[in-house]
Amino acid sequence: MVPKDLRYTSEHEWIRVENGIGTVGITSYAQEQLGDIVFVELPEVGREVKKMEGVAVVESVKAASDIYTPVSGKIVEVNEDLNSSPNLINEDPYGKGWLFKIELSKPEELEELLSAEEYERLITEG
Amino acid sequence: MKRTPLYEEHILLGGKIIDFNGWEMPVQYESIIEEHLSVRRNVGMFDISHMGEIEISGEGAKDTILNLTPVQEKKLTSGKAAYSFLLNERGGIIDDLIVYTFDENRFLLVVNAGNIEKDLNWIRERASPKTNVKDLSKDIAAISVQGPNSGKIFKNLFNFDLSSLKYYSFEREIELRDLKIQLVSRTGYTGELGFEIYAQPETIIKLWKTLLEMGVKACGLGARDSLRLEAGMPLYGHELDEETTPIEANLEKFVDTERNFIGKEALLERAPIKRLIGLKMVDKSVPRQGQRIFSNGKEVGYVTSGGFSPSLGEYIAMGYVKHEFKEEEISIEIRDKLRKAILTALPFYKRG
Repeated sequence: MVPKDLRYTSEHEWIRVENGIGTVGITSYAQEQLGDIVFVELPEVGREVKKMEGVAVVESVKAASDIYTPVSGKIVEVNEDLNSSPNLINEDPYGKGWLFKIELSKPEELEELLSAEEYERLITEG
Repeated sequence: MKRTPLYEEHILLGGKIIDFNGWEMPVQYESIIEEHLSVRRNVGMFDISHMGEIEISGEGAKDTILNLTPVQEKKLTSGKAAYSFLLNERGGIIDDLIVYTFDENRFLLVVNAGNIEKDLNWIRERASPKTNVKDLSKDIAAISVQGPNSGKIFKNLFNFDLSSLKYYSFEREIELRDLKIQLVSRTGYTGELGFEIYAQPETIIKLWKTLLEMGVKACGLGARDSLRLEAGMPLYGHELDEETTPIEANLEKFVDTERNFIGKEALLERAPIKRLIGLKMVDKSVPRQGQRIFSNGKEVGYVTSGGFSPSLGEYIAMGYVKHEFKEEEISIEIRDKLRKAILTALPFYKRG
């Protein structure tokens, strides 16, 4: 259910790191809780951000939710497909529904994030 | 927290429950957008058992209604339903409601769930001395069936054509096999063809199951809200409140200024300070209740309801601007940024 190879925040973001670049999205649990996503506001490419800074906004039919970056670094790419199809987050939260890519400035921050087991425990125990 | 008789059914269908004015109601089952579109394209149903039902009967019942609401007297005809309001002395809206006229001495008011106690107190203090005011809210449950194919469902259930029931008309005391329907009216809150059924709780539970078997999609409050927004219909607590008059809310056609009623003098004397508008976003973003409306750097109003329109694929809202404001291009302040929008005639959506 929760992919094993990712790291998580308690705010329901996930990150996958390859060659110093992290891809960030929201978890399947989060998209289920939010319901139909109708709009996504993405960060500017090139922006320097600090761990747990609000960098994007995901709006469902009912409410707007801030998305926090799990790590510090520079935004290097955003998922432009979400501008026309925000529902990709509902359909494929760990794949086509990714939000942004970030060049990690402090890779050691990854160690502070939740493992899949820890995140799974968080959402099942509430 | 209060529950409707259909609460268990909502849980069985996987409904996501929220607190709506003290009621545990389903906001959605699987997807608000799908539920919304099923009402626009086929047929869906809503549990509206949380709504309040107040019976006004006996001697002076009609005078009580005429004193408490600005409804046109000719609309208080047996078998007719009429949209109206309770107004305070300042002409502000205490609640919006539907008056069902059974006969000269018996009326049923259907009021908003969150206003039942407030309405009852207001009515009881002002009813004619021999008039009975009875809260039937706990004894009556209700389902709203809406959508272009609601006529087929109606025909299957009642064995007569929905088209023979005129808009805002109703039938009472109908027997359906073993079910007793207290009232069925051609009314709704979606801008689609539809009808609403009122009956005892056990009957409504059976009917809900029957309707599910007939292929009617269960829809939650989320879709109910987005449907009424597209149809430009006001919601109490958003477009309507005690500081707002029906004239400001663009509902003057429901006010009979030819006769007296509570709030009339204030309504005629008080110059409207704001007016209800519809808007569409030009810069993509989701407008929400409470956001401020600007024009040329000046604050000119605020959003009362907003969101994504599944039928139009656009972001839309209703709100108030200063009464004298006449521009078309505006901006909405969303997350500290001004985003362009344009005024649009209401309703956003009209059925074809």
